[in-house]
Amino acid sequence: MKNQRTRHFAIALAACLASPPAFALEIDPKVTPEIAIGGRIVATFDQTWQNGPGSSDSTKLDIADSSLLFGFSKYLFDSESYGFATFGIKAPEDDTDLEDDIYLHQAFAGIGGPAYEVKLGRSRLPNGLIAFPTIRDDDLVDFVYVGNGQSNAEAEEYQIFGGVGQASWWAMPNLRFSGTLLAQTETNLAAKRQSSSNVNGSSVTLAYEIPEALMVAPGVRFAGLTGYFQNLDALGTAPKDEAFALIGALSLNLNGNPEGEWSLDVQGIYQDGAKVSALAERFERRRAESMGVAASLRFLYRPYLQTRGEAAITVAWKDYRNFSNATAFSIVPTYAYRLGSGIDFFTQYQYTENDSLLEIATGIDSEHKFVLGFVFAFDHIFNESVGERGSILNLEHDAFNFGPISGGH
Amino acid sequence: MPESPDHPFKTEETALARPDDAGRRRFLQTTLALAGGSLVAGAANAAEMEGHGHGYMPQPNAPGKGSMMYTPGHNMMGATTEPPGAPSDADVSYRTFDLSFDIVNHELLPKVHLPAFAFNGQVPGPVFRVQENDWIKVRVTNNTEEMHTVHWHGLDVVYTMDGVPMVTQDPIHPKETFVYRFQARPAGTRFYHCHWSTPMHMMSALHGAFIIESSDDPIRKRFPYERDYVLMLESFDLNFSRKTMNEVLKGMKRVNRLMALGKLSSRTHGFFKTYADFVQAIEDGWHPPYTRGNAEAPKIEPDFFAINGKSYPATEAIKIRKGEYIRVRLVNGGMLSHHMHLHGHQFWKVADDGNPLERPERMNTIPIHPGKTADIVIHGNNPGFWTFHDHDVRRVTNNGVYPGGMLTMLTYEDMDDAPYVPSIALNE
Repeated sequence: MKNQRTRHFAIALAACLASPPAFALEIDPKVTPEIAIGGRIVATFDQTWQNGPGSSDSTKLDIADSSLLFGFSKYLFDSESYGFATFGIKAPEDDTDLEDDIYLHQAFAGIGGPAYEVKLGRSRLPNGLIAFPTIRDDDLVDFVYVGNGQSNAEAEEYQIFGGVGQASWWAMPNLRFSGTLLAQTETNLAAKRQSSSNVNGSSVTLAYEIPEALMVAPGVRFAGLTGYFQNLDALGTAPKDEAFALIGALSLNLNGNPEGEWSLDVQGIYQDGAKVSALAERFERRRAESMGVAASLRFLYRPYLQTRGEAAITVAWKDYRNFSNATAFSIVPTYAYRLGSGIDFFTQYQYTENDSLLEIATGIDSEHKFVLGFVFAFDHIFNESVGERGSILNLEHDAFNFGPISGGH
Repeated sequence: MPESPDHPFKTEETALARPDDAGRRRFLQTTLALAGGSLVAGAANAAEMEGHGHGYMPQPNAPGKGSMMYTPGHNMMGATTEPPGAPSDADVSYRTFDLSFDIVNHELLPKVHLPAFAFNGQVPGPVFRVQENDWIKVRVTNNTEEMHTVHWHGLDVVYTMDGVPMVTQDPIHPKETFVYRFQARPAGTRFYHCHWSTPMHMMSALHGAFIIESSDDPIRKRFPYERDYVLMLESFDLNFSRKTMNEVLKGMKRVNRLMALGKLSSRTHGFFKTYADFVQAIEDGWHPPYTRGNAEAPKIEPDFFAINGKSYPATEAIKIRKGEYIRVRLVNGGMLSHHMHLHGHQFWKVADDGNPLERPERMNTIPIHPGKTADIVIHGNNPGFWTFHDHDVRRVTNNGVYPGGMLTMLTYEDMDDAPYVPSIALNE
């Protein structure tokens, strides 16, 4: 009897394994998704000279910020709304406390339509509004992003990326509202990651952005306002607390000459600050009350409307308002020459200076950094079948882009 | 304004291609004689044309003559353009039509929409039905942000009315009205289509039939038909259409804004007066748009197929009665060849490219290649319900699902109690 039951079970199991999946009643059994791939290789020689008690000069061959992205999307049952998922990996700087060769910086899914998008997963935090024309995303990370007060790690990945549950709605084509629940990465005092999934903040954004096609005209290209709230756990000697930051940004086309264009980007961040007694630790500097402003003036050379080069100078300043001698600034001239579609030659010099209190905290009084190298960017869409969606590269920093980093698959 | 007795939508039998009433009223504005408003340039050229027929050519001129595209800071948006080369209103009596370029989200069949540029907001464009040698004036207004022209395919018009951008005219700019004038000849099944950015506009169904009737039609004499039908054969790549239209509209927003700002030059347009100018631009660092570093070849793979803007089962049936002759005008304004097969009948092919054949040919499957028209006559000698379709079955699908696409029915109206009546299957 037992053998018979075993035989029946074996036959039934074999039948299940041998049968094709039961698709007969499925409306949409196997529709190939639209597949987008994109990525950037940022490969540079970096030469750094530092002054200060903790200074160390270095020469590097740097591939940090290089990334690879995969996006997938499919229509829902109609041709209006769609579902999507994105994976992205990037190379972190190799001397930070992020002890991985690869960081999963994009992993989200969602649904969208002509006037809305909802996404859930890991992606860019809404803690900065403007993409400044520096080679790498993190060149001015302390100045142009609201700091993650939950992290004591150096890794800029914990500053720029995190868990997001984000809903965006375009009330008009030019006007976007976004609301986001945040899961910023949390570390302990030793900079070890403790969580990257705890919900610990929220933000709202109101943005006016004109279509890329109309950015050739002089005037405002982008204006945005973000309120960014962090619910902070106790860390080190700092108690459980809250911090609220307000980000305002403006991007202007100054002359409206598409073949030789001058533009100005400005962003200010005010953070009301949580209670911190010193600025010695990174998390303390990220929680402290501060005021930061960054601005860049750039000239885009586009003979016959084809981009050939960009020269930009970006200045950034930040002051920790409750502390004396706690101001830092950085000045960054950047030159990019487009060698061809998707490949650019870059050179950049950056000078950063810290006031005495920050010099004690960081060990650096001033820093000169010279960078020279190539950026190769590509994207391609296979089986293009889903609405009009932005390039997947819009998820990444791009020195040639104006205004906000947003969109993409 | 009342319609003239010989308006182009005169019979119920043309129902397959009839626009709705609103479209008709908008399309047709008969003006047998426009008082005043004669065009000096037009009159002058008409006078020059005497004795030259359509072989008229201007004196040798420098390339680019007559074009506004090389005028720095030019802005043709909102202009009304009356090109020379045709008689003025004072010289002949024109039948006047209004045509427009619009953007529509056209329903091919339920739940499937084609983002399209469309003549008078309809796919395909309205049918012109005129008499041979009528003088025709078509006021074409561009309501889109893209540029367009109208080419009168198979008509022997004056060259300035041929609608080929930068060869016979500047493209019709947004909000511009361009007035085409020509004499309708020769008789037969002709059509019209946009000649700017042609692949995109083919995918947009920017075409329509232009039927020139003749009181001395040899086909009607041999086959005494009363009803005739126009079937525009179409294929659409919805992904290409959507993607390209989005890119075009974004690009044109940029171009139109730059034009309004006076920031465009011939090199930013990619227009050159001579080949030498073009080569010189390259030597100066201008990069042509077709190099492998600047462009990737678009793939156009039609996934929906239609007759008169509808895919089966949304296509309309052709009606016939026992003993009746009907004439079917097949027009291929698309980019694929179609082999139309009619079940249960041997029809006559009576015209090719609109021109009557001296010896009509019996067949049941007729190839219609891109740019071609063919007229067939069907005799109602086998009552029933008969499918009429492209025999390349890939084109009898909707997004790969059979049956669909380029399929319609020949239906006898006077069937008695039929033993079997067609219904609809959507996924065989």
